[in-house]
Amino acid sequence: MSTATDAPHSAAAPVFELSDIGVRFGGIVALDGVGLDVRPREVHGVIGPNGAGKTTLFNVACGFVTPVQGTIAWHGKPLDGLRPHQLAGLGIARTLQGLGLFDKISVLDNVMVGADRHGRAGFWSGLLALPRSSRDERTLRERSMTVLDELGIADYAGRAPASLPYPIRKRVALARALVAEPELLLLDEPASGLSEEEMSELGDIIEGLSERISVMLVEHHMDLVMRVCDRITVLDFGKVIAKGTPAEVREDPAVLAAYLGNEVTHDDSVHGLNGGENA
Amino acid sequence: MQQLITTLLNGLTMGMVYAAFALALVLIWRSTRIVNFAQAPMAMVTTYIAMVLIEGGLNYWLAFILALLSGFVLGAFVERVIVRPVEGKSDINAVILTLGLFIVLHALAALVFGSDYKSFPAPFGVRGITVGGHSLAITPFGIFTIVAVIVVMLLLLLLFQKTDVGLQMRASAFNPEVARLLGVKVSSMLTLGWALAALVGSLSGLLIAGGNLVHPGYMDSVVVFGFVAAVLGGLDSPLGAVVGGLIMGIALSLVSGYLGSGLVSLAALLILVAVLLVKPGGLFSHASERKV
Repeated sequence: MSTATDAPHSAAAPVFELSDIGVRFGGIVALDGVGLDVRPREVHGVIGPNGAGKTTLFNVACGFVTPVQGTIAWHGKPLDGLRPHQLAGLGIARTLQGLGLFDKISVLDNVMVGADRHGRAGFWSGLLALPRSSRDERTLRERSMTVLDELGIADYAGRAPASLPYPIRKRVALARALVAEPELLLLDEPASGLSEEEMSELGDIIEGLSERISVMLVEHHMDLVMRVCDRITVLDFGKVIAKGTPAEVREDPAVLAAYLGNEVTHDDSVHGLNGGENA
Repeated sequence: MQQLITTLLNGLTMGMVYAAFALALVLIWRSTRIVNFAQAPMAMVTTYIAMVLIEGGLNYWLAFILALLSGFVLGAFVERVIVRPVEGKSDINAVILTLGLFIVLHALAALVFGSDYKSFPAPFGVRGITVGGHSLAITPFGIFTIVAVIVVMLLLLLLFQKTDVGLQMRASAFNPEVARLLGVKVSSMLTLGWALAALVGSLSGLLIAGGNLVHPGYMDSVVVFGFVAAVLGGLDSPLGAVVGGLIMGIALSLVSGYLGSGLVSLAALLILVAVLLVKPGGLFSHASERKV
């Protein structure tokens, strides 16, 4: 079964590709020659110890950080000077750090704001509430409710996010990203602040998503990453130290060293010992 | 008793006008954090446009609607051409800009339309309705004023709560950064917000002008009362603006009717001071919402 699902991944051209990305903050090299590609309907994980550059890489993918070198390509076309607000138009959705929900408008309205507006009724017909626009309005509402339902939070549609517990608000933020029907979803630490059970539900959701869209998942919870990802890119000190399937990455000595022996990586004997213990 | 009813009805009518004007200020404040002091002269200019059209022989209602539309266009123009260049700089820049626009529009109106008093026609009688032999202060035009403001407010409510554009405007006002990331054209929403605000401001201008004398400064007292009404309601709250407007209208009418019309401006100032002392966030604000 795994070969059947893996085959299209490896054959298909990547939808989203970061090549040779370099980012410097002052004299500090945050990312150095980092590359990764996300294939159609693939969950691509980015992991690494604290300070490895995961968030910086995510911010590059979102257009928040402009790399000093390297290219970002969407369906093979380079995106020069990518700005964060252009992502929505391309078909790339993301969840925001701190969720970025509109606290005083309803959950349903929050989700509806996230809907893709391309090819919908224009500004003026929207303003004048012309028939075509109100039809769009209905489908938009229905679509938003469908997404809320899929994520199991339809009961909260009329509530204000401010009054909801954090895990529910995280799902609202996810629903808002999904209602745009993106081709690629960028997730930054979606499991933070969740209980084991909630994390397991999140895993189910991400697995469900990968049947129709691509996901780039930046996360430090190993259980989740190992469970849902098709491929994983491991960063350490701003460089890619390993790439591959969860099984390959789990066995990779460089990864074990980065996670378990990074304070003694220069010491070969201890390095080898750590690798041996966990192999 | 009859004087009280008369005073209250009068206050209600004026309160509606202040409510519309305060709403215009609130619409701009909550999306851009700018108090648009030029709202009054903008409304004055559109009233003159209506007057020129009516004097040119156009139907009153057509002129009324064209004036509202010209207000819409003027609002969009002011945002795009005048306010946009200082966007992102200190808020005080934009406020000073609107004060400057206040003076410029005054001077331009005096040059183009003349600075003398002109009478503005009213479509309905401006004499009180007679009930049971008593003449009440409520006039047909007063009723029209109340109905017109309520209709416009309901339309705005529908726009904001029931349409996608309204949702985008609310999202842009609450958190422009996030709205932009979600693909909302925030700058278009700002322009639309100014345009709608100027339209509502123009409505208040036309309603005050109806059956009265018009000159370049005729809206100046309204900007003071409308501003106090908006502060009373909390500047962030459209509902607060409406309630604040009604409170101002009735309070000032009571002052004018029982204490003397010379004290109206003083009363408005006292209300402003009292609000700022007791509940600076306004009647409809929550203390924790705004960072000072």
